Amino acid sequence: MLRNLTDAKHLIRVNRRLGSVVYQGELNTTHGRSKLTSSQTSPTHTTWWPVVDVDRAAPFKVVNG
Amino acid sequence: MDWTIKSPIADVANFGRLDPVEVLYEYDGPRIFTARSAMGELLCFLADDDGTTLRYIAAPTNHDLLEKLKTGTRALRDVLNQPWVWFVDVGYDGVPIAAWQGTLADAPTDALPHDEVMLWPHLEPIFALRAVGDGLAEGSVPMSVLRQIIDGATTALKKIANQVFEEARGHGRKANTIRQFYDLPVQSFAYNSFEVALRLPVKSDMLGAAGTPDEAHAAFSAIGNRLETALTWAAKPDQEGEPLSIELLEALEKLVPPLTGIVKVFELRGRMFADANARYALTRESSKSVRKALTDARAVQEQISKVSGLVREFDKDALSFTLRITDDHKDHVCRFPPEFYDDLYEMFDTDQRVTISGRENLKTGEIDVSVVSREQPAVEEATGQANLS
Repeated sequence: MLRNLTDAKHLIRVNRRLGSVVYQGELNTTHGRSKLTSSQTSPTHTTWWPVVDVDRAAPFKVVNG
Repeated sequence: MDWTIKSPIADVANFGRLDPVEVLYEYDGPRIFTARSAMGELLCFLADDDGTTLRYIAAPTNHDLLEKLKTGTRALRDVLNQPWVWFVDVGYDGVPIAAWQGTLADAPTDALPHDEVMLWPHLEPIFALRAVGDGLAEGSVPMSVLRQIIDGATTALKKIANQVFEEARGHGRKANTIRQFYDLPVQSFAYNSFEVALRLPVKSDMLGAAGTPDEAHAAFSAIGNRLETALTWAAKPDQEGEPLSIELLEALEKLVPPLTGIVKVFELRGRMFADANARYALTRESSKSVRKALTDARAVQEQISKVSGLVREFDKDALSFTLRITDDHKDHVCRFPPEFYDDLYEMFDTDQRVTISGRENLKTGEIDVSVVSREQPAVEEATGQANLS
């Protein structure tokens, strides 16, 4: 996951085989835990550890096609 | 893999383990990195991953190319597109399995990065203007098209920057700060059809005048929002809503394609817009709509004026002056294009009277200067006229 929409759109323009759409959503504590796992070349990369059995798709909607 | 490479097989041993030397882009692992091989330095791009094998495109590279990639002077695909490249399949255990020598054309388009995309998001141009038309290819772009793109981008941004900073100027913002937002460095030229991409000035060029990077970004966003409003209007000019200001119409006037000639569409994009990946097209239909709206607006807001006076105050950065002691007994703030700079500055410096013509805003009295001439001095003696043009 990326925290920034611009970064996400850039990601699929660089790596087109990752898909052509970006999903955007807001997570809260009921969805699990997340942590910024950034690096110099990917400053908004975030890792999400979902709660077991949580519907992982539910918080997200497509923002571009 | 769902694509088979038909080009000649290469010796996979030449690639060693294809271990990254410098990781340039990562997402769940390195995706773009440099590596050393028996053939020299390589730029590796992860083109595909089928769950068991990673397929890399490995392009020969060097320090200069990598610097251009990292500074946004060259797009990613451009740097990968070398006379030959290798395709290297690597197992999930990190051991290369097979290699082929070919060209980028051997890969499916959707396994390659987009044509224009830069290595990192912040390297994308702040503003890019692309001319689309038949025959606009490398070696055949007329100077008139080049001039139209540069003039169009610079003048349109200047008009909007002036509007955005009008209030700030009244509060003492330095005019040369505003100049940083329209006289932008060219980042690259691209022949797809023909595009000029502009980047933010590097900090050393900005002389600290444009404030902090956050302030500069906020200012560009404000200019981008205003321009986006104009472009949205241009896409549907008949839709009801607030009419565009004359400044925004004049900005659009500089960006629309001419009704005749090689360029049929201008396409705009850039980080100054809310969606940095959006494309805004201005067609010849847009040109007609802008011209009509501008004619209507000018009929009630402007008049063509000719005024003589003295240039008493001259702003080198904002390209404006104040005309005083005029024949219409009013002071006028006048804006002028760069080609009049030398003449006007000389007249300011030597206190010569000047006659200017241009569009006068009826509300503010400001004049957009389009003609400048020196006033002929009265003939004092029968010895002849002064030699001023």
